[in-house]
Amino acid sequence: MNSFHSSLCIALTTFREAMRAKLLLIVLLISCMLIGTVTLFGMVTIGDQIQVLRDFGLTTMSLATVGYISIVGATLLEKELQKKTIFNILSKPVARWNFIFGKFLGLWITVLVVGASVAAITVGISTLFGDSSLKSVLIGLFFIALEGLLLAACVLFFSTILVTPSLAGILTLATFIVGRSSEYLLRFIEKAEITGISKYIVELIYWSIPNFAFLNVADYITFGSTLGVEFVVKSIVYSVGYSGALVIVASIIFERRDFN
Amino acid sequence: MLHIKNLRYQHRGNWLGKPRETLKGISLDINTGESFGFLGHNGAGKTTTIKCILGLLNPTSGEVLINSIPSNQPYARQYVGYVAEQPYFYDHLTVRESLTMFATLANVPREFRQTRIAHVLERLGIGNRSHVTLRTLSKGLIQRVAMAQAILAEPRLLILDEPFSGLDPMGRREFREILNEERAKGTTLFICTHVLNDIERLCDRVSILVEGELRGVFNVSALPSKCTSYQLEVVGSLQSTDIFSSKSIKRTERSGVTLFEFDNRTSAESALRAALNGGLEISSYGSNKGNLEDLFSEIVQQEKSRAGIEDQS
Repeated sequence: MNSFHSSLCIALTTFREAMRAKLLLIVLLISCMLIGTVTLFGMVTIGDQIQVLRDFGLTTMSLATVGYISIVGATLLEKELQKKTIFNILSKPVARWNFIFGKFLGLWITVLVVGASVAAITVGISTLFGDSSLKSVLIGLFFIALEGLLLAACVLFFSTILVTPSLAGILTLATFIVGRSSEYLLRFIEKAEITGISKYIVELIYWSIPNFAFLNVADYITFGSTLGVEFVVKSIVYSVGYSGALVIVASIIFERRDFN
Repeated sequence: MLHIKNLRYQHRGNWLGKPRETLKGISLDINTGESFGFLGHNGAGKTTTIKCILGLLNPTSGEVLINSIPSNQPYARQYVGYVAEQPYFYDHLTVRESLTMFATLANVPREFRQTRIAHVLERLGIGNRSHVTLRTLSKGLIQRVAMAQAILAEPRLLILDEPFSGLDPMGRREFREILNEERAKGTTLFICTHVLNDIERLCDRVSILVEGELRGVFNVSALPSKCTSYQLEVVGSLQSTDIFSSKSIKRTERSGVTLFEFDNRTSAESALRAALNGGLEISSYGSNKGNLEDLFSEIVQQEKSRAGIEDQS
């Protein structure tokens, strides 16, 4: 059996465990409540009710995945170490990078299910109002999957370098917030007329922090704009490349770790 | 099968903490098919050694080879089964799901996987619990699952860290039977336990680890002759000087008799003669066959005394 099968086995186990935990149900329940509330709010809103619902559905999808990754992803490695379940796994012919990659894949699959469930709720409710919004929700789900891939890699990276899961979760959330507002950093350089070393530092931050703003297509979808093939390919390459690099670094750090 | 050469491990501790050397140059050679006992007091470094063998800890220096492959290579663990001291599994998985995962990770071919799982479940007496989630199982049953996952892929080397903990007397017997079956199949056993009786029953050789240092490797069958003592029991309350010239003879007094212990036959026999000549009533005389517990206590005690002397100086 090749290494990829070990990773896949760990990924499926991670996914199976997550599916049976209560937290996933809670996240989905909160998402349902949010979309339901907005539907009621949309009924009294002047304007396109479907557009409001679609917009909020996409935001809820993003919030649910980000929240889930920040909470569950941050504790994923720590739980393995504290409960010592990792000992049984690594005593088998499994490389440490297989373990990290498997956990990353498992977390991402779970996040996909979270996003898809919220998407299904959004489509279901908008169908009740006569417009399925299926195409736009599917496009939104695709980009949320890319966002989830990058965020799952971030949380695993922070989990390997930090011992405290809450700190890893907070840093992941902070990275997401800064990454979503990364465009403002460039505008800040222009408007504040920063020069010299300060300019390079801000530019370094801009280029090193994952650009979540690049993957945020909510506005395009809400207003029905089309996304070019080139943009889609660039988004895939960016998120797969960046997350791949983060998983490799996380694996290298994890390789050197001692499990006392 | 297992070759350990000058294995050292230094526990790094936290930022300000002083590093502590928990393994101080251990060297061991365990032959294929051998059953090897690994003894040591709490904190001696037994689990640390096992973790170094399994690649869970990166040794500071030294070499660990499993079947001539460095233990940090995943492939070295291809034929290794491991039972942890306190085994933990994924709570929400059922026993069968968990074993399927371990069988997959241990490269058990897909076509044999379920047959093999059914076999070990039956052998461990948990066949009727295969669809129960692991979080609902008792400690003893979890220990059985741990043994099941260890023997699932028919390992050539079985590493067991306190395998009998949490088991009832019947469970202990069953585990011993399973281990004897594994031995008969040619599996090498590396057993780490506090229960010396189990070591004596299962192992060919035993090593004793004290404060991260190996204090010898002994053949279990040759142990009695190694630490035999002689006892003379005399009726009445007596001091050793009453009958013997030496004050250093070990003396215990209980329910009207005094027990004298000698570490060699010659002094025991001369003491017996002196006692008979003195007209004392001898209640019993004989040799006390030493066992592993005596040897273990003796070595640990020696180490403690040595450490005490070093501390004082």
